[in-house]
Amino acid sequence: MRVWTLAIAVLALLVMTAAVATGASITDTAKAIKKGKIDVGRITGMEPGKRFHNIHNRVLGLQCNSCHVGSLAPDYPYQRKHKDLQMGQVDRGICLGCHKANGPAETKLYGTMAE
Amino acid sequence: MAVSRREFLKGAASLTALAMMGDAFFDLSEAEARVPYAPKEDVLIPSTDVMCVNFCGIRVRRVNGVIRAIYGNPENPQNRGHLCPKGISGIFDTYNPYRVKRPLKRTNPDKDPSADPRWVEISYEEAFEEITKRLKKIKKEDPRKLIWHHAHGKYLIRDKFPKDFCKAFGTPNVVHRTTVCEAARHVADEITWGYHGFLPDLDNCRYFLNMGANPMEAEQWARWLDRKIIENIERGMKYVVVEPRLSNTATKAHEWIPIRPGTDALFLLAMARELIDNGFVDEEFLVTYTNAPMLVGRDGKFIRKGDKPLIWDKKSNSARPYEGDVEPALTGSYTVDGRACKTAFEVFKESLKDITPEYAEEVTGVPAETIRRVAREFGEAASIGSTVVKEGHKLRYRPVSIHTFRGLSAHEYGVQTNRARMLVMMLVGAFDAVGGMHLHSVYKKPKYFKPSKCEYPPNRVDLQESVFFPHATHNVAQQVALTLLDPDAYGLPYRPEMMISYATNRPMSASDIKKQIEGYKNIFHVSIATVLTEFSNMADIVLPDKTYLEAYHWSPTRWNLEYKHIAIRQPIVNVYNLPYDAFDYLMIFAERIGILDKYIKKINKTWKTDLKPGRRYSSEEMLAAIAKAKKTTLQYLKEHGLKAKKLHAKDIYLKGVEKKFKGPGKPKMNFYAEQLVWTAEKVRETVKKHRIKNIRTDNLDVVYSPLPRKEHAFPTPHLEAKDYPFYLCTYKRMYFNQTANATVPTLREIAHDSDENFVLINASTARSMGIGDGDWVYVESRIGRVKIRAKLTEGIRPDTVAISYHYGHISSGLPEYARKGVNPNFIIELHPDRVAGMNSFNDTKVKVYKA
Amino acid sequence: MRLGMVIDMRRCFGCRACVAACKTENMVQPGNYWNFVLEYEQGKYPNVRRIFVPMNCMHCQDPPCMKACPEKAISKNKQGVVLINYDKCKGRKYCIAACPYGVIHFIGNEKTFYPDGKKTPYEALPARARHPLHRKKPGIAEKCTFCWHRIEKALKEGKTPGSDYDSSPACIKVCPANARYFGDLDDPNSEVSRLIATKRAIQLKKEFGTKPQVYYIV
Repeated sequence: MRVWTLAIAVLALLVMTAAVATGASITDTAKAIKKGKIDVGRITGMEPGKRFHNIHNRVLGLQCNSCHVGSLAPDYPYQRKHKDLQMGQVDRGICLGCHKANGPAETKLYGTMAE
Repeated sequence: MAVSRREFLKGAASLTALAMMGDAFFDLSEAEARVPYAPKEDVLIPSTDVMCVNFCGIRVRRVNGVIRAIYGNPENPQNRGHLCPKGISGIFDTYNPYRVKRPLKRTNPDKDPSADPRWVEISYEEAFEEITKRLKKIKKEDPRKLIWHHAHGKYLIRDKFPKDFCKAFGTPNVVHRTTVCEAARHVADEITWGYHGFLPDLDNCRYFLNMGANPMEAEQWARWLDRKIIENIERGMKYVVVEPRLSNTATKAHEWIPIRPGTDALFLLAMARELIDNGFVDEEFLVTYTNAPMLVGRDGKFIRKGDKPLIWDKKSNSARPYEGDVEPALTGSYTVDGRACKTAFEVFKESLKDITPEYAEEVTGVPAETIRRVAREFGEAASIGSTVVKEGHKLRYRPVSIHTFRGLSAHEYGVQTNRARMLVMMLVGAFDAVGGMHLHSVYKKPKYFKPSKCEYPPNRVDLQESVFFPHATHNVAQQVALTLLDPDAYGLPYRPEMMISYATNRPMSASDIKKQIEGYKNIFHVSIATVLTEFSNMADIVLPDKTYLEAYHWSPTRWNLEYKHIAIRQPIVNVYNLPYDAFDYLMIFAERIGILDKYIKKINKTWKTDLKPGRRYSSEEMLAAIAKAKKTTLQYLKEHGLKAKKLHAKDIYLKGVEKKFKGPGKPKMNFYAEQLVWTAEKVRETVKKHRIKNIRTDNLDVVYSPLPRKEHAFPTPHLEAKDYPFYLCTYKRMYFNQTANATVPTLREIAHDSDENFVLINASTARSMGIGDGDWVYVESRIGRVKIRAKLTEGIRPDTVAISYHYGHISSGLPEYARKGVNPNFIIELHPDRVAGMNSFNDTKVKVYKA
Repeated sequence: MRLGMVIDMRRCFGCRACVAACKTENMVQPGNYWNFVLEYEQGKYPNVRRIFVPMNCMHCQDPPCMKACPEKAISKNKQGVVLINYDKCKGRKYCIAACPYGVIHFIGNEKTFYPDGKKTPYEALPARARHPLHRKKPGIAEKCTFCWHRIEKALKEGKTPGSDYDSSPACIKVCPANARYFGDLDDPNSEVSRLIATKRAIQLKKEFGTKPQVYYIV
């Protein structure tokens, strides 16, 4: 895998822009995207310029350093060869907020916690 | 759980059948379903691994004539189907594009391994012609001029073939590598109980003290010890590791005791003192099995009547030989024929007077309180006096064991330090007891109880058993190059002219590599090799060898406390269509120089085979003959890979010290190694007589002391290199074996840090020096410096740094990706153990600073 | 049947046999891993431990990768094994983004094991001599299949998955520490079920609600 060293965020974590300040507006935005009311491009893919980053970065206004946080704690259970984050490696806790079962995102990736 | 041979075959057959049926479970696309899994061949072939020295049973899966995978063989009693990453990655050791494929001849006279030898490919005939011409000349002049080196080669075709070849040829110079591994341990064993090799009885052990052995990353018996340690921790065995660096073996322990490198003798002696002071002494064992009650005179020698050493008989209140109806006193001072004497035990006890735990703390860095506690826990767990019944035999029960490998051995005083380990074990009577330490082939060689002849002039180029290394019975691997540099300095009565090396990378595996390389430039060198390691790259002629997956070998095996077994290797593939392996080369050389019949005669004697003279034999024929001698067939071994025999309680507990040493009239385990006193005397005389200049005689009483003493915790660099604040220790990792397999790509990427090595520095120490994780630093000793990346860790003493082996190749014959990292031997000082010839890998002191 | 794995972290000593066995068994090209061991230190000198966490696909009961895949190329079979269909996969990498465990890898360019760029005979085995799960190509995602090719064969032979060497994933019986177990989580008498019931077994990142079928004894 090509090594893609990420800039380590020095600034405080700036998570959301005004457009996604509240859960409700994320829900609305998510619905709009799903219905095709917001143009996020046609090409499904992770690379910047394709749908994934269009949604999260352009429409929802998430900054790079919101997700790409630099390095993971040594005991963070995520399969990785390198101490510092490589391309595609993101603390999925950031995703969980919106993509959990009762989260605002349309794509409910994650289930409810087992007992 | 075990998969039988029938199942191997059945499995292979049904795989094909299955493919015909189509795929019921996996939702395949149309396109994929149209191409079912239908190989022409899919078989499992049992064989034996030799990617390291554990000889695990393997099953090689061959698909369409290609090695597809290597699995463990559950029937093998050593590894029980378990394998390490090296064994699994053997595929790439064989499918290696950097292998030697044709005989090569050097055209560049510069023999430095990093220079391009400018190889030209030659025919086998040309190679054989040149080699045998030289062999014939040497044989006529003085056969001793030939040196045969092997290391890993010993475990491929076995050392017995080159040994017999060299005997038939007439040279004593067969050199193996044990002094770079654990020779000091072996020699200490031999001096003490007449042979070498031991295994802890882990299934019955309650307190297991591991002094720097690392079976979870390397070493012999690893695939048995690792599993047994893990299982028995769960059973409730206490497991304590004493070593300067937290190895993966230590990280599983209840307690890690970081000790200063090279000082273990004092830890053990302080422990011995605590045991004695607190009454944890198995007097019965000491009196019945050891020479602890023998009477020692002021000269350090036993008081004798004729040639029989005397004990103080409590019954008759007189000094008598240890025979008949006597009751030897363990302690006390006596006068015999006007000569003052003490029992050996008394001498030992008195020698410990100053070795308080507080003193030991100063030197070893282990808190006195820890030493006291470990001694107490060890002594209590030993259950002195108790017995247990196993398979109807009433047996001594001493469930404590001290294990070691390089930890106590790779030092200037490796033999003495190992002797200290054995004294502690003897104090509690834990040898050959249930739960203690099982000894292998006790008193097999009575010669080891005798003083050395201190040969001079030396017959062998490595000076084995000469006045230089009087008890070196496992060759002195690193000495050959030094003798070649200046044969006169050692009084060698001939000039070596030719050397054949087989599967060894000797200069890289010994201290002070530069000197090693210089030494080997001075001789005509034929190398039998699979890849161009540094040693092979220095050769004049290289002959390609088959790998272990391409040849027939009568494999060595590892016994354990449950089974012993025999095993073979068999060819799975022949990637580069090589016609010969090392076994064939020996046959060919023997035939061409006219010693074939003599060689075959020697082989027959060694293996109890019945080969007829008059022709060469293939390795397959050889294996068939050995199998017959072992009352089995090669066919059986080809199908199963091995044949195992279950061992019983009587085999494990009653054939060693019980049979050989127990009671009056028998030889005794050497609590007190009196033969060393005689050896010291002989060394002194020989040095004087021949005016030998390069042997120190002012410390002979320390070097050849009959009992370990505090001086043995002060190797030369500790005394001299005062401006070098750090202790350097070296270690082996799981990913590679010694200096081999550097080209195996899967091993280089198997862990986050397996591609390169680094110097481990204690995190707090490093930070105080401004060194960060990953920074380049210099590590400098009195003989040189290396540039290497720092790795910060909490798992090492603040005064110690560590560099692993395996990395830092310099051979131009290896691709760049295989040359990463650093070989610590470039900066390790050589202060060999003068008893055994052991290389002192863990005594050097260094400076560390930012690059 | 719901196949699952138990990894005893108290036993694991970080040898990476499972990594090597997986790599060769599943023909995983350089740089990619179906199984990898996370390693870190805990504590301060001299009270320090090294921790090893072998990680492969968790074969979640509720797999986010499956939901994320825009091509519906990921499925969970009757035995609870999550598999990627290489024909359907278009390499969108959404599964990689969704997986909280980082165990899915993308095959960018085809890479040979040796840097000379030539395939060894092992790498050059033709499609017919490879199980469909080992017929990989550039531009797709790959991950641990619980060695489905072995399990599938075992089931067809009427053997219980996990019952012997060859009926288990390649990483199981090879483990020198006996730290890895495999079997049916739905069967209360299976070794894995008994271990989970009697030892302190945890699942990683439970907060994601993925219900992993890999348990860790800690």
